[in-house]
Amino acid sequence: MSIIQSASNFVKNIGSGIMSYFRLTPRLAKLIGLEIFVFGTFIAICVVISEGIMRIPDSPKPGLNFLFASLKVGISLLLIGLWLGVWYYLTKRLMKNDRQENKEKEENE
Amino acid sequence: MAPTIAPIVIYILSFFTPFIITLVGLPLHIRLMHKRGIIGVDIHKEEKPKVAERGGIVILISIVLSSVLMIILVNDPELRLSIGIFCITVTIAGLIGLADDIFNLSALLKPFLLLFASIPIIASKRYKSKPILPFIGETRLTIAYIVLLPFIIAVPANSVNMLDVFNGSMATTTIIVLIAILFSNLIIFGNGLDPLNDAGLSDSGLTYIFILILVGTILAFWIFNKYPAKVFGGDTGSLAIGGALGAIAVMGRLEVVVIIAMIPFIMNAFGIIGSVKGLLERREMARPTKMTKDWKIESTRDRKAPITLVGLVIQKEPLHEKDVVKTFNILTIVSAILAIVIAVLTNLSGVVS
Repeated sequence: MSIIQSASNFVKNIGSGIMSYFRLTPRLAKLIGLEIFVFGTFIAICVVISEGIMRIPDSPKPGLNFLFASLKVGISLLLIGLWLGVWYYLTKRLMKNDRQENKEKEENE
Repeated sequence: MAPTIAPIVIYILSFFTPFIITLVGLPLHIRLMHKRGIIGVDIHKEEKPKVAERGGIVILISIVLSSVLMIILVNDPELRLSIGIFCITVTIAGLIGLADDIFNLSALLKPFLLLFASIPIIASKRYKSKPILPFIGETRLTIAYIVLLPFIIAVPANSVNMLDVFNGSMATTTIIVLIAILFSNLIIFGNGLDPLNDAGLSDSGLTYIFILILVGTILAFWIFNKYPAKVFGGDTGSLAIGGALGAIAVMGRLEVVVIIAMIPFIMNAFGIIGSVKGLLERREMARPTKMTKDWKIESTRDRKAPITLVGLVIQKEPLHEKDVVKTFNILTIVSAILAIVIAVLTNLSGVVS
């Protein structure tokens, strides 16, 4: 086999490999949507922390300052925890919904 | 005093040393495993081939030897200590995996033991309790961070382990994650190839060494683990690699980037834990998949089976094993892009001093 033929086969293989990835992508729409949602909500939480919680001023009194700092960390961690909780819930729900859809489809058949 | 070696040479060696060790080590390992009868059956293929197990041992040896070489080559005691701590953390995670491969640890004991993999990092203070978030910058989480740190190692280790179910799936997805971390590190901390002379955890040079060691190892492993696999990594490999990802997140101060890049892994873990209501070993759960007549993977529709990422992608129609791995790769590519976007946002916010 000539070098040109080998090179052309190589390019063809790469091309068909990429095409197979594109063919599979539509069936992953829901999962990709969930990924983007998880990312978007995380960014939103960061903005809320940055523009809201971090604006709570420091206090000159050490005791009060400690309380404020704990409050800032506490609320931020709570938001992150909430984010993880929503992520967990949506993943579970998405998976259950798909299972349900599948069961209904099977019964109809 | 030892002569200083150019960082670029160290980076090249960080990649090629583990690559060659794994490339040479795995054929010997495969032969040895076949000789000793330590083999598993690849149930996703018609001919049911017998495949050598515990390839993770070579992965672990490769990471350890490459780390030792880097300790010898770098000229800074702080960097040497950091590389040593990385190596010990990965070794602990890998040895827990090896114990699981040999003795079948319980589903609760394994993640519990993995919490201890973070002890070297905590003891040597190779962390900064100030994770960097986009728009916010450095956050001060002094006590909360130490409490969370064991989970930053244990969660990636377990979630990589849970996604290591098909030929080449663990290797390709973790390489994509590592590439995302590499670019994110470059975007957030900059410095390119030169900061190896200064000590400190935020030096991107250190993270490049860890990433390159891992990519070199996993790439060589993939050659033998890709479809049709000649070797399985076992829990030794997946826990070592997952533990290494966690260690990079902590020591490289890239916690958020790693979490976002690993969304598909975490989603899979969420699905399994949520559906079986707790932690169960793979062998204790009902099988979520079965093979069709034309040797494609389809859902068993068993209500007791865990809901996994595989189950989701094969819900509509059965898929060939190679295509299932491709779907994992697509999901990881998307999360990798999102991780890089996080890095860009962090950089644009000008929050890293």
